[in-house]
Amino acid sequence: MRRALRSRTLVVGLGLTLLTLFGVIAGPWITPFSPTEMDFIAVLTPPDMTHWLGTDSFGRDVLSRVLSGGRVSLFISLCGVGIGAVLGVAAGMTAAWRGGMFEVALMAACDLLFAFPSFVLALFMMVVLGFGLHNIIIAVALAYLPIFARLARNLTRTLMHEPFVQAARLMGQGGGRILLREILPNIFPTLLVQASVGLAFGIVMEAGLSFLGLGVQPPMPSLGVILADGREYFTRGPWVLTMTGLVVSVALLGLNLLGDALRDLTDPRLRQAAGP
Amino acid sequence: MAASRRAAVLLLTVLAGAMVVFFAMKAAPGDPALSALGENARPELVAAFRRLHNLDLPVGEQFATWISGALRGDFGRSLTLAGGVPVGQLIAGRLPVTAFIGLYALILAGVISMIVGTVAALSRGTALDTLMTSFAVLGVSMPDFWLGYVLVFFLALNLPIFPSYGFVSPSDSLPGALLSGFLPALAIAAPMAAVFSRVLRAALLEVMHRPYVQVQRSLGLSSSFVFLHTIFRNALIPYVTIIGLQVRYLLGGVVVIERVFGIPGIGSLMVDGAFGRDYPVIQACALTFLVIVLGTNLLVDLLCARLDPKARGR
Amino acid sequence: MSRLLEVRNLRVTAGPLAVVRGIDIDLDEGETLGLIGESGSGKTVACLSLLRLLPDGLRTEADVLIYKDRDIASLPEREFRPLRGRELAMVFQDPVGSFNPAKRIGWHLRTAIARAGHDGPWRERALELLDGVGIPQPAAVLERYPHQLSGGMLQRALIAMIVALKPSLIVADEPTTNLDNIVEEQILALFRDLQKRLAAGFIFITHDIGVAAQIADRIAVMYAGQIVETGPTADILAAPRHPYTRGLIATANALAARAETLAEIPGQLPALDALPPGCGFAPRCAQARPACAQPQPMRPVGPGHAMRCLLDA
Repeated sequence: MRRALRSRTLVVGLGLTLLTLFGVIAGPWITPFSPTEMDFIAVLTPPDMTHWLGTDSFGRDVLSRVLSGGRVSLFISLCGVGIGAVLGVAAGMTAAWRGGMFEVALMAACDLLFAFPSFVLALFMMVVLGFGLHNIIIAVALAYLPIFARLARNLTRTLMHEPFVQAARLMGQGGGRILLREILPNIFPTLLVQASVGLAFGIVMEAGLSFLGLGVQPPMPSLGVILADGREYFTRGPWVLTMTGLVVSVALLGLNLLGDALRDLTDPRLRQAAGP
Repeated sequence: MAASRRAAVLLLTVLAGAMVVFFAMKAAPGDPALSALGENARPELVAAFRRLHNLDLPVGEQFATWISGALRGDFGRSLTLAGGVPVGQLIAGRLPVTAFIGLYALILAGVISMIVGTVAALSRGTALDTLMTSFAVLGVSMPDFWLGYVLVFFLALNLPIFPSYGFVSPSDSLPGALLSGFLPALAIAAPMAAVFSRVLRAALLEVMHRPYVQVQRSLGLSSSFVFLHTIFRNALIPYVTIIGLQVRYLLGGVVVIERVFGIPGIGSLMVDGAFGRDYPVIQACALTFLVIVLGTNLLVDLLCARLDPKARGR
Repeated sequence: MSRLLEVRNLRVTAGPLAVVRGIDIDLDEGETLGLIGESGSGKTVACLSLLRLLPDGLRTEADVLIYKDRDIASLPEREFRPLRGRELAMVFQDPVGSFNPAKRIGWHLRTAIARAGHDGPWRERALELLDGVGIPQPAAVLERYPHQLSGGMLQRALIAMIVALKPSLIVADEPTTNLDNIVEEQILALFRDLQKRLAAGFIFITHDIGVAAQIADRIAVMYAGQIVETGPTADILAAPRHPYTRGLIATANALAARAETLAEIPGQLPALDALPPGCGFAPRCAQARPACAQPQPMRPVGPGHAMRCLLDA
């Protein structure tokens, strides 16, 4: 734990992530403006002491909108990555345990999904399912499912022949019980690292889809919707797009640093190299 | 033997991808004829539309017609664009643009990451290293389409050498394409360069501590020789591997950035198709991207086999 | 015979820790010194410091560092670098790890031949060199990648590269440790052949006193960063004086020489941050006495024979 706190990456990453979480959860209580209330006297005002990130073309406070949009985007990414992770890990672990045709078929399906650019896959899903919040979640989940399935399957395979798993097997424990009780706790840290990086990519994916108008539809605010808005009047009020993107970048920086730090902590090879 | 097996796997993957693309689209809700012609279209127009696009055939037969056409470059006709222009023609016209922008971004990412990764590794532990690695993490964290706009705002509007919008096709003028494509390619390249330079830095540091590097120094070979022929040469193997893995993310950036900068490539075609629910266009674009990814993967594998003698026997 | 290398009070430190604590080495042309000790005794670090190949963080100091009448301690890296390979060369413990895995054996030899300033076609010279170290079918070997050859073959190829460079001082750091018995004998025979062919001085590092007995004219035994006994090989083998050397020879006689921790000597090397104030070996020595807590100087015990122990000095 002391080593963990000494890592600057972890401290900065965790700090930024907690700040982001606090901002999007406590947003409505800490900003004096409503994200949807229009104010036609204060249209497109540059950042100042009242409106820290300025206002948009309807006079809405950009900071308030970013915080509430951030909540929508984070919710989408969290649900998408969560669903992808749970289904992917379940499928991957089962495939490794059962082997045979199921494993071959699952890995072939993963290979196939991996052959599409991830954003193209999400875009394609949006067309098949229709635009909107729920369908982005499904698109993000589908983009992450193969990543988690492959990771869980590979990790499970390396652990399957470890003595403690063999011992549990000899004691007559069932497959499901061994996977959940013996293997999952051991592969969980690595999955968590993947999830923290995936969370950042999920947010970018939502932002990209909504930015193109293929994701969350206005008036619901999401980071992608606000960025798309900012593009409309970029030359008149460049701060809307610039500031929103900057906030998104800082939030993603926090998640990426956290992922890096967790990877350093969970990788025993790196831990040894780092010294006693 | 290995080559023919590989070709078979590749062909099967394309075929499976085509099936997924086709049948997923068929499963989508809504009648393409009605969405193209409007809810109140005259029945005989709808029937003619269906006949033109083979929609009156059973689904299996539709697929057979589509896939056999696709193998010859015929993807049917667009439902919305230019009065039913053949999709194959659209793809053929736009593929060079996407290939140009993608390759341009890949080269930029390669050049940037080689400099950043090498400088960071050689100055390990110093302030310069911290600066370079911080830039790299920041680069991964910035959404590329946002970065594109910021680049336009700060570069194109202040330095008028770069156009802020519009794209000159490489077939019209290569210097024009290089100039007008620079900012979009840079926006796509930035997050890639960040990932690549981190991998290169880690690989260089790993190789630097290998015993053969010490052996070469013990022979009195100059440090630049050892760096070039031994350290860098061996670090290239993981570097090229990661480039291969990242191509699918790079192409995602291409889709968004083409749209943002008004570049007429496959990506903006696919987004247009998505808005118009233009099934033949979307299917063809998705399949084209699949083939591009598989093609680059194959190239990267061949390159890795050239770089890594141990991988050749396998 | 003229003096090749003279080292006085060589010290290597890693921050506050002393890895090598003041060793003296004298080596004549054509002479072979066997440097013996357990893993961690500082013998490899001492030799790497002679070639300035230590990793960052390790500092070398010496009162005297003279090679061929030249003070090499004061040379800037720019002037020292040309000496590596051409004057001072090293054979390493891990032959497989000694080769750039991305390049063929031919590339390695070509590089060494170019470094030796050889003009004319490199291939003939390479074939001649490989043949000279007993590699069969040298033309085919040139086309091989390192992972396609055995450890013994690679060690021979590395020796061929060093022969190409004709250095005057060759350090061999346990060059046979990772090889099996038969190959070990062949490589030792190759070194004996080199001793005759090249007028070079050799420092042969080993933990196996039996190997040193076969190859060395003189032996220096290292323990905890110091030389504890040095003398002509025959004298050391016949009449070891230091208790540690006696233990080593007893172990070798017990055919346990390949073991990393020596069965005949209880305990293990002291940690670098917990060195005893006096004799480093005292905590493991059966004959230790209170006076051993004082630092021990080298005491002459015979012609060219000295040791660092107060017993029967």
